[in-house]
Amino acid sequence: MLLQAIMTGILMGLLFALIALGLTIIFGVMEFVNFAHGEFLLVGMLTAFYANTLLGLDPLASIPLSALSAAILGVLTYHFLVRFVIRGPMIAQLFSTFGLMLFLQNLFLYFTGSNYKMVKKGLVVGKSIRLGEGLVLDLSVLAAGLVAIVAFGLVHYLFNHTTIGMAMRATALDGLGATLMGIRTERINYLAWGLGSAVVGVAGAVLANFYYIYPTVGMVFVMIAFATVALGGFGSIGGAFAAGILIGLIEVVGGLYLGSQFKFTIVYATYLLVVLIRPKGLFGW
Amino acid sequence: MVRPRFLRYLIRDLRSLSAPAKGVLVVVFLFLCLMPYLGLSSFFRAVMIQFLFFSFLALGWNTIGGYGGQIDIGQAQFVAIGAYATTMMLVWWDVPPWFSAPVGMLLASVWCFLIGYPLFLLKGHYFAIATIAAALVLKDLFSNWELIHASRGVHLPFKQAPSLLYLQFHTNIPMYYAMLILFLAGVIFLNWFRNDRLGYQLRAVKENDEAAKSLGIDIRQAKLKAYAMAASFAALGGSFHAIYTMYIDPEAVMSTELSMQIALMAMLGGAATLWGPIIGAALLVPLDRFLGSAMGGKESLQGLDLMLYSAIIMVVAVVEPRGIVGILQRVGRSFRGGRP
Amino acid sequence: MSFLDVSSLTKSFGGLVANREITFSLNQGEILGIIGPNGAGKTCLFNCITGFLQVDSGSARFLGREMTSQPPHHINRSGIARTFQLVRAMRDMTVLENVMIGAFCRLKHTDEAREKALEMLHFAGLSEKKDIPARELPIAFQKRMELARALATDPKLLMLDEVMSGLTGQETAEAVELLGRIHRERQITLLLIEHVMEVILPLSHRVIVLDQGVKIAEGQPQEIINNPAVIEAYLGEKYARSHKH
Repeated sequence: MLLQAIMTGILMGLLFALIALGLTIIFGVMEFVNFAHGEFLLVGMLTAFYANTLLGLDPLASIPLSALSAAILGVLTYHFLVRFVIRGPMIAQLFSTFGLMLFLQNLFLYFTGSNYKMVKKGLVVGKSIRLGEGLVLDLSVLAAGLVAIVAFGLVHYLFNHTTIGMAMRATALDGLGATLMGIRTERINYLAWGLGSAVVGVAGAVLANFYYIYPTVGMVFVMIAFATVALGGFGSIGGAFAAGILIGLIEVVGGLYLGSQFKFTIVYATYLLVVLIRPKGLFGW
Repeated sequence: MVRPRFLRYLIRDLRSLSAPAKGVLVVVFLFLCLMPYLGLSSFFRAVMIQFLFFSFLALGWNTIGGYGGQIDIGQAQFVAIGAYATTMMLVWWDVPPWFSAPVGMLLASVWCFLIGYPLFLLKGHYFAIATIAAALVLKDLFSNWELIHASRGVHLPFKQAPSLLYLQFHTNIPMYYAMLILFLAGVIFLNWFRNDRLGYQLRAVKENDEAAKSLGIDIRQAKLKAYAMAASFAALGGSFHAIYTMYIDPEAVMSTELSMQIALMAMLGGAATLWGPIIGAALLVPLDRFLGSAMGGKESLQGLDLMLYSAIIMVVAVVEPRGIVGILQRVGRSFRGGRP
Repeated sequence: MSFLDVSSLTKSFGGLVANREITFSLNQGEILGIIGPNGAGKTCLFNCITGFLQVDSGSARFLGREMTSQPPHHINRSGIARTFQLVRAMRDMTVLENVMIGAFCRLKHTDEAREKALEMLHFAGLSEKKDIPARELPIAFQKRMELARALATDPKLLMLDEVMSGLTGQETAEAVELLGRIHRERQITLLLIEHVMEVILPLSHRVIVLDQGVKIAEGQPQEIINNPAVIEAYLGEKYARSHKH
């Protein structure tokens, strides 16, 4: 039982890390917390779902589509909303993305209905393999973990081995300084939103392989994402990776010993402990 | 004759309003007092009760969220404490709400000191998320606590109607007046708060906490006091809700949605102002209820009402972060005399 | 009983020693100036005395009570008020409200606090500006407001961090006059950090010089400006040697 929990925990943790990655990229570059992050995840999930039911596309194949639709949403959000509130008081920043969260939830409620949706046909949907006694590996969860690893790898490469990535890191460290060095920080901001949203869109596509899709699904995941980002350190990519795995383990193993009704409680309690004891998280700034 | 301070502030602030504003206030006050006898529907009455209820909660939120600048998205946990205290004391020991409501307020204050003490180390979005997390932890605990019927909820027992002791009646008119009295008390309290030392000190802390420290302000203590006030408002509101709806469960009284609604109404109307929370509630409650019944009732239009609601929130956030009061101030600066 | 006794106060940040074994005494009714080149550790010293930074070792005793273990608000209530190098105004509050915050240190009632604030504003020559939001004030007036606000806390010791910086010649003269009145009419002891020599020298009874975290000189203003170590700290060795007489 414990081994199963650990395995699932790590794989789900990788997925949590991916969701958190989107949040932490945006925070790193512009110190902004997007409360509608869960709805961006939903967009990714819905894209994969409709590509599957309307076009017969496998959810894994819709990854680029989900990434794109989420990225577009991200860029639009920055352009029409965030750009204006970022310079203002904290209270407006907070309630602007709360408003966006409610708006998107209800937008999808209106257009797609409230009933729970599930992807039925796909390469890894509903399939699992036995690994030994009592050890079952859910292939869709495995896929989620693998996709997360690949995505992290790509993002890491982008940030550390490309010019644009360096520009983003520079902007994250010192926006004004970056501008003075000729970096067009406005463009970087758009890019950060596009990239951060694309990442969570990808997470949505793989999540659609095995999770129910409904308008408020984002609420659960956004809190987990916050806990992950806090633990890993706001703004740290490596931190998001490590923290995601940790949170995944905490959730599943904790749920095993305290009862599954408390598995989210432990995650929230973890957030509280982390921000009170070590607000910078493991690797943050 | 030396009048108590809250009365002095009230009289002074009322006097300082411009003539048109005074007129509006008188009309609104008369309307609120006479509303049940104006031949309006029972549904309308229910919406009015809800408006007064949310105004009350948003006013309480304002002490810590608006004036204190610590944006709390976890007020529902205190609403729940009040609601459950009143409910369980009635169920177990036949305690009337007049006695159980203060107990609820006390319990809520205790809980808020417990979590406020560590939580006020945080600011901004860290604090906001932490309040959501704390409320969710409490909700999970309540949802699994058999003693209070966990997630199944509790029906309040019918005692006798009409009863002033148990506040159970045949129509919702007496409860309307109960809520109106609470609302008026809330307004008078907030007016005292913003005029008194604590209100000033909290605003100073919000603006520049380093300077505030150097001027003798104990930041933690000030914030905790305001937090306890907000928690007490919430608990009192929770007790009312329990008596009014005769049924509570964790989802109804403790959800993150409820916390967000309370905060949103105050923020939309204008945090750190007296009328802001009331204006916010006046806009959002009817919008939610009337649109909701017109649109949400129909399956096909579900969600449109809240889309409009949240679109308004986003527009106000961008256009005037100080909320509707800020917009009114900008527009009517030359016409208005009174303070917001 | 001594007024302010700073003894071997030491504060470092990582490898950098910002204040090393600083020791000096301040007598009631004095005006003591603290000067020194940039980076000497002057503001750090202020922050240590007023509880904004925790010292590594040493002590600062005010009227016999140890200040280094106290939080800033206690220190203020004990009778020390301070201003900041970059004015820390409550920008969205009016001038009057800003000063009322200071008054609320000792007074419980809003009306009393308002009275006191009006009195302080009058003393500082800011009465006509009382209803203006602080963010709309030019820098010289903001500094006056910060002074009035600090005065409203009824301090025995007023610590001023570069209150003259950014002021024109005329504004500086007015500020000096105000400080003189604070000292004479309100009997408040002053501890000033300053860069502007034309201010420090006529105003101070005594001067302390800091350089790179260490106290390098102490004495009457006239002695200080001719002290070779002081000249060297500001202008370098070359000028120090040529100035020796």
